Amino acid sequence: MAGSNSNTNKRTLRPDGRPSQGNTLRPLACELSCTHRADGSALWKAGLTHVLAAVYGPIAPLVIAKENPNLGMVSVVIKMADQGQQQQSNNQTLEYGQFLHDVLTACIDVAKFPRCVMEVVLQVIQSDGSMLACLLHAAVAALMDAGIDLLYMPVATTCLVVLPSSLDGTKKKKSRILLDPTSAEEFEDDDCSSVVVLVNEKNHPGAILGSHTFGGGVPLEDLLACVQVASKACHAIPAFFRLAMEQKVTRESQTLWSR
Amino acid sequence: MEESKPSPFPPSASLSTLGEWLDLPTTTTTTTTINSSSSSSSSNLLLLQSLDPQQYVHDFWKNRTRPDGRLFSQSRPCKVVTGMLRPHSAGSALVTTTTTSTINTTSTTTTTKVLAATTLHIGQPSPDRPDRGDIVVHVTGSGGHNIGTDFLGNKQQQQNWDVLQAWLQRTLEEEEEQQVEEDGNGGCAIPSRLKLWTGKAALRLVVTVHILEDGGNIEDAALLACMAAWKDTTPLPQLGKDLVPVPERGGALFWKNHEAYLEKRATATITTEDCNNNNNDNNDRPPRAFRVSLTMGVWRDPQDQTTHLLVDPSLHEKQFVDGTLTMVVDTSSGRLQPQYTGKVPLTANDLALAAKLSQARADELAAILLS
Repeated sequence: MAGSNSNTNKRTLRPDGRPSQGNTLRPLACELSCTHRADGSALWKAGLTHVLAAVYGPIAPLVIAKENPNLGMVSVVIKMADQGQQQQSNNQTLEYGQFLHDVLTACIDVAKFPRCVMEVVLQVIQSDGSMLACLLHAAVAALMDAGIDLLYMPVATTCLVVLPSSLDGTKKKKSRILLDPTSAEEFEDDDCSSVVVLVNEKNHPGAILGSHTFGGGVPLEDLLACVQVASKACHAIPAFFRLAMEQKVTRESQTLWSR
Repeated sequence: MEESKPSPFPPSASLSTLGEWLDLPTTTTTTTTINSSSSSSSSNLLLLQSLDPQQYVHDFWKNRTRPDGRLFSQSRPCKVVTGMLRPHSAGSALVTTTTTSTINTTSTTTTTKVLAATTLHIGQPSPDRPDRGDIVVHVTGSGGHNIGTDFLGNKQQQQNWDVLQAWLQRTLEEEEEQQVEEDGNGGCAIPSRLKLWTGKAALRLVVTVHILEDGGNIEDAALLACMAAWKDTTPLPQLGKDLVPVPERGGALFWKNHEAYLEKRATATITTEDCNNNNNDNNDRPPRAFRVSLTMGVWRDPQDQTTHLLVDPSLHEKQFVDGTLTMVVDTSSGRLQPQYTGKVPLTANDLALAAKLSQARADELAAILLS
């Protein structure tokens, strides 16, 4: 019957059709050099979350007083798609912008670009969860397209930690960790779930270079479990970056050399 | 050298005159040998501090100490004063953290001072959250710096305050949500503290945070001030007890006895708590959840590549750390919210150590917030 089938599906599949074990990423898509005015650009898609990133620079800052004589500066501008809840989206934009600014400043070789500014503009086209990770991946793809030297390639992993709750009478003793949650999953168990975004890189998979948490917080053992999950996921994204770059280079060579 | 042209350099190139030229404390040449060596070494230290501040700080860290004499795991002494703005605000708290570093006879004191005040507004709740109130945070202040006509400095500081405001707002909102959720065990939901009348009236808690002095680690001081001010915001007006609906005026709420309510609020005393003393005198009240944060600087020793956590970095130290880790802890459940950005990768051991330090700090501050 349809009712029993849907119950069975709930136990084996997540809302977007992924297995319920929670260790599967959403399908990724990346298009480089999609805008021609910017020095580098990328359209990053993770499931139904779409982000367009554009990089301008390294260029001289408009205000000379903003120059740093020793290091380059990174400027991050985020434009959200949701214009309804202005105050909430403003606060979220500020926190995301600061986090991305710190992570990108650490991963870009800013010593090679003194007195310069690299502006990263991120436009959220569609939002369906794991927004911060998508913003970071889009920014990194655009930086690669612009040819800016990176010290390492940061990879962001979003983990939804669903804590055990006794409200509904069921006794869930262990937390569940879902990788790359959708918007519906993030807001489903609002009271007993937290979203942990971890940034790491391929050479140090077991260590984190950035972390951002939303919600009520997680116990230490769940946090370390998220680090384990992130260490396994951090090999997939760089491979996808390489694939996207190879496709772009192949497309450009065919276009340039075709007669 | 012509006497008509003043030379920028002193006539004799001795250390004491170089110190005078650099406006550093000078030493006298008539002191004994021991005193002159120690005083000249302190002058060298001051010279190093002004010419190469990074090396100056790193020399302390390599010896596993800090310029103000603290250990790596030691916070600055902190004092919390609540209720000093009564009855002009519903609740208030002033958090002061002070540290003093001494070189020979020269003492430098850095202070972080944050004042938080709360006011309550009564309004209509949002249609999608008819039984919840609202929390709004404003961050202002110059941080003790005279920005003056420095437009770029002013803009940068305002940007920093905006990010701090967004973080405080989110943390307070999550703490309020968590409070409602945790009290809902057993199927009987206890409403939000800011709820008055479902769908018709709710409280808006406006928290104004004023940064009086910025001596480093503003985030911890600001969150502690907000939590202490929120705790000081008693009693909250209640429907039926303090407020009554008047059907003739379209169901609008009116004070039952406004003078009595104000008098009840004004009679609460001003309290001063020292964060380093655990006062566990009052254990009868049920524990209420608060959120406290601990900010740590991350530094990697270039010699042996070991990672160290510097608790509560000062403004001077913050410029030279390799990363900043802020751990927000829920005092009742012990849950963690780590926020980290930096160049140094943190392993599971580092995270566990940070969690332990944060829990210890939360236990220390919970004694004040729950008393």
